[in-house]
Amino acid sequence: MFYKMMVVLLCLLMLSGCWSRRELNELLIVLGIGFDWVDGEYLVSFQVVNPSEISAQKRGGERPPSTLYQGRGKTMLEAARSLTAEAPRKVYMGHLQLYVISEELARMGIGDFIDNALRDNEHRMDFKLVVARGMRAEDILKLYTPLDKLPTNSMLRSLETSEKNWAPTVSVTMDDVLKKLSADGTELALTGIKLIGSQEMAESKRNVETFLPQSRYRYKGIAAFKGDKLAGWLNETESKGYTDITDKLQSTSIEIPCKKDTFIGIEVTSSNSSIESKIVGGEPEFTIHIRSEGNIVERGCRDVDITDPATIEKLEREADEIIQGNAEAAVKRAKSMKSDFLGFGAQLNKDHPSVWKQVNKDWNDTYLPDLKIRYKIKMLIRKTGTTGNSTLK
Amino acid sequence: MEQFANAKISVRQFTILIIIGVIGDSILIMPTIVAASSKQDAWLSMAIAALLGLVMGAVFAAIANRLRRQSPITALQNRIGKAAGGFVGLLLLFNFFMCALTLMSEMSQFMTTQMMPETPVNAILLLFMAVIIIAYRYGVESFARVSELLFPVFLFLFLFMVILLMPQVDLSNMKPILAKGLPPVMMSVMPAFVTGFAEMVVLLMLVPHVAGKAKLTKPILWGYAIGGLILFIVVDLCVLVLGPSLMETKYYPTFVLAQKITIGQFLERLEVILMLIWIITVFYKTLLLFYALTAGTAQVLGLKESRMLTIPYGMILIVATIVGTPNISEYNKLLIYYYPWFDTVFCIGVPLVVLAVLAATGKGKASGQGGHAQNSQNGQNDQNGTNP
Repeated sequence: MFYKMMVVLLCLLMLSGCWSRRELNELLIVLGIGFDWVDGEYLVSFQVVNPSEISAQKRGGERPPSTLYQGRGKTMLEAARSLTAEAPRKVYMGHLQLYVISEELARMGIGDFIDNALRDNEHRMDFKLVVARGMRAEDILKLYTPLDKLPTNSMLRSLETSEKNWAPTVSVTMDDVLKKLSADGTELALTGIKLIGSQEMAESKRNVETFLPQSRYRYKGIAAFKGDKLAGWLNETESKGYTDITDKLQSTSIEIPCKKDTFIGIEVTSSNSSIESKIVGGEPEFTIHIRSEGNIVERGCRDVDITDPATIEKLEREADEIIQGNAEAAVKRAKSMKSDFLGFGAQLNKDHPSVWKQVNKDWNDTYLPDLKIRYKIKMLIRKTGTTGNSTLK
Repeated sequence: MEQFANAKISVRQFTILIIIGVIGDSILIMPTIVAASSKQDAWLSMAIAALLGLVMGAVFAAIANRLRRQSPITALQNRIGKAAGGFVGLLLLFNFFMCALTLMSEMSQFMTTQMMPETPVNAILLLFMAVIIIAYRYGVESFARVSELLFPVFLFLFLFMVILLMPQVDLSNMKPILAKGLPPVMMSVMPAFVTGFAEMVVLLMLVPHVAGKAKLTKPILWGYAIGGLILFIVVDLCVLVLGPSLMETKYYPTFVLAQKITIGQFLERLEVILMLIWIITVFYKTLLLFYALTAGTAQVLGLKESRMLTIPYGMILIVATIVGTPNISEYNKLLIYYYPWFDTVFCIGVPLVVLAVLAATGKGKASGQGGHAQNSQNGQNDQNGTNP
């Protein structure tokens, strides 16, 4: 009996739970990380949730919904640990949503410092990466946003929504980055984010107390990489072409000019695209297929008769031209940058691996700039909203 | 040993143990192993390995049928004498020991890298070993029955994972097929084949307990086929969902696979539940090896009791695991470059020797000295059965 009691007691002492447990109130839940390069060190800014401010029961309001902790270090870990000198808890990465990289660091190359995120067991591979365009990453994370209290949440949703419903952004997760940086014949492209308005205002709560917040974030342009280094920014047309060709797009708006300064608005409701590679006379040739469907949502010119099938056909052809223009702009940029962010090489590798083996060494420098590319674009206009021609005179 | 002498498991339980054993640790490490040289053709390597696995299964079945429900060690001792039979037996035991060691190492590494980074491996190994020893002491019948209970759980979780991953499948990850030709694909076949299928030589130690006198070809081949199919599906999903670079980069791609599940932003972060899959299979494979090691030692030495071996063996295994695999890089190097050769010798070579001996000594002579072999009763039954 005594023996058994001792065993039980010992068990109670020895097996009292796991020693690496971390309760909820011991976690510093990181939602966003900003990376900057300052004085030869990483300056890592962790945006963490302020749990009492976002809880549903209590109405907070006195403090910001999230707090920014910053640490410096030669490695990610050093930076993350050095901030415990000012933060009450240890960071927890399981809920990381956004990874903001400063443009300066992106131009230096991201291959080395994302290694920690690939290696660490708390990082899931599903957070998105963006580049702080022309500014420091830490500044992006210091922003009061309306609607969504947590700025990273707001940014994440905006990125996801705009990728699907507005062309010139891409949401790229960590595992995509790994794939793109490991693969042959394709380059990484990340969306740029920037702050509009004054930094001072962004950091103050007054920013969200007005109807039109003076400071806000905006996704602007796509950063095309060459290897792991940022090589240049695509403008809006090129960005649209990029998302169109790489089949990221689902819906967007196309404006067809009908008179001077007036336009017919078309909502693209679905869009599919593919790149086809062919070998003609030993040389690779590509055809970009884009097939979109859409509706007329705005008739800016009252003299266009959209009840006439012939008009619809004409509008379809004009929309084709606009889509093709975007695609051509993106291709032209890829050629001039010598960066295959559209993934022609990868497609060639998939379809004709033997040809790819011969050309992959000097693909970007020799073959890409002179690539022959054809476009097969088909826009189908299906509906005209709830009305035909309106009776407006 | 007395209490196990008449332990009987059904043919069904035998099959299930083989399936779980084949899946074993391979479900965790197989994708990385096959992707290492065959990249996006990993599924092809896996398919070839699984087919070769069936051949291996046929070899094991041939041995199992010639054993007449005796353990390979006892059978060899009966046929070619105590010393020679014991020597071959020791080779088998050495293999079981090494294999158990790698599995323990794998288990502890997986737990500490993915789930509990701050927990010392010793603690995990200690608990894992304790459970295995307890399972052993309950006996073959009990753990075979529990495997029958756990197998549906395993299948359910596995199907759950497969179905929830369907939306993420991207067929273009497979292309280009055979870009670098067949050699890199074949390079991956070999390690996949030996770790997944040849290591299950341990099933021979279960033969004395299988009920009935029927031939064992069918259950063994079914076990190999189903186990191979499940491994093939896992590797396939890894290629289709993760793509070759992630598969090769991460140590445990199957875990990343489970992390990938997101259905409508609410059914996600399921990896910890799905971890049960790996715990079940790794546990059973280790248990089978530990069983074979302990029971086999008792047979070689002619001991009446094997329970007293469990705790010493457990202690030796834990220490050997920690000393033998000090860090993960060393372990992986061992696993990828050297272990396949070790397996080839001990899991293919030694069984072939056993088969040759069994075939050569043939019928008639079997179990003549059943007096001190613990399976005397079965041996006699078999003799009656085969020589009416």
